[in-house]
Amino acid sequence: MRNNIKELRTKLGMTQEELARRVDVRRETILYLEQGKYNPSLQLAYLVAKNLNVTINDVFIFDEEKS
Amino acid sequence: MIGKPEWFEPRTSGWGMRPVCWQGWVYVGCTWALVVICALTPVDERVRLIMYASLIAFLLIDGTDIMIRMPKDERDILHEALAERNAAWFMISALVFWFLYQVLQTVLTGIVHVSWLIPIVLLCGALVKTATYWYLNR
Repeated sequence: MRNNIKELRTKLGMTQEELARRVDVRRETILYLEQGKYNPSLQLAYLVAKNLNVTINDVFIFDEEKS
Repeated sequence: MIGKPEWFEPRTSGWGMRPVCWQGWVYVGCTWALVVICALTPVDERVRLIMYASLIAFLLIDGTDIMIRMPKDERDILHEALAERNAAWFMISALVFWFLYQVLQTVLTGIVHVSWLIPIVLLCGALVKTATYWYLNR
């Protein structure tokens, strides 16, 4: 599953550390999310989208070809 | 307790934790200083043994307290669970292999080489797993 977290975050002028603090995870988790190395839970996905002022669909792109 | 969870993070190699700020390094430094003091203090060996035992007991209690209170997010918990599972399976496989080797030695030599502690440990592990599944599915 791909995502636009980094683009949306930088557009808001937010650092990884700040986003991590807002969604109550470690900065490394945000790094892993942005690199596509970790798929978040629904709750974390919702919190990330909420703090980036977009919907979950705007942040996460499910790759249907691979599923 | 003395150590604070925010001074450390879980180790990714082996078990335990490592410092992430100067307070954590001071804690580690003081620990080593106490080890050196125990080693160099001119006391009776029995007293030295008590000093070492007290230090180890304190580190176990304080370290356990830090590890329990250490904040972990969902990724930390998932990765830790996967790593612990892989470690557990390796250790179980090693124990089973060693027990079977001991049984083979016993059969070949006629002399009992078996350590019954191994199947007891494996049985206790199975009970812990069963209890965990019961707790999660209740």
